[in-house]
Amino acid sequence: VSTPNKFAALDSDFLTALEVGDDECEGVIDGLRGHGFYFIVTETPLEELGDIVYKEQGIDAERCEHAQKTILSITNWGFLTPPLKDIERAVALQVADKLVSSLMPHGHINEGRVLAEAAFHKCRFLITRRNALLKANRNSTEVALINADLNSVVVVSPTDLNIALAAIKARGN
Amino acid sequence: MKKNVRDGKLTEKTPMSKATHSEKQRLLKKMAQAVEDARNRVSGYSSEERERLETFARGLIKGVNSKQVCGTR
Repeated sequence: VSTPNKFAALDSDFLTALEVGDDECEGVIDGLRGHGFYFIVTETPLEELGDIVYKEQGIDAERCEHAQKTILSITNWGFLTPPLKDIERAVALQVADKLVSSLMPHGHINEGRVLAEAAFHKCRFLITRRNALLKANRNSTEVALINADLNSVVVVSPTDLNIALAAIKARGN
Repeated sequence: MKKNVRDGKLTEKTPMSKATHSEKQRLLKKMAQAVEDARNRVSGYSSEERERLETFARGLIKGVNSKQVCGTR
């Protein structure tokens, strides 16, 4: 049995869209699984989904229900939720702070955190629709991660990833 | 569902896959906003508050896992 060595991190917006039945997100999962990828949900998306369930309870039942269904579906979808060690969390937070302050002027700390966590888990992709992450300079982001002794992560939207996967399929690879 | 797990295909497992297009679009928009709101809130939380939310989410996942283990016995 081969050890899983290809991972992709999924952001909270991707997960909620998947639960709602977004065709693009479903295509990404099926497409990458075909290439031997495993999927990871890191701490930040879990916190954000947990926050919707917790804070929207009694305020917006539909938001709360779908966020809860999303969390409950993580296992059914076969996604992994490995926790980072305390020291890794602390370093991820520092890296996130640097990433946001230097490369994502309109971003929140969570945008940096989700990227740093994906890098800590050695993910090759971070699949997201967060504009702050998608608009950040790709080369600078990768250099910043490598400079922090982390793996570089390709930040990509479901739309772009589906286009790339379709192109690979068309070439017959 | 088991067939889908074996095949590595997700499509039919998504709970809302069979919803109408307009219903999906409405929910997609609503949940995207919910995530955006949560991101704004969580970004301002202390590490203790974040840890509590993570534990809460992991507790829900753990509940599903133990149900699945029991189901196979």
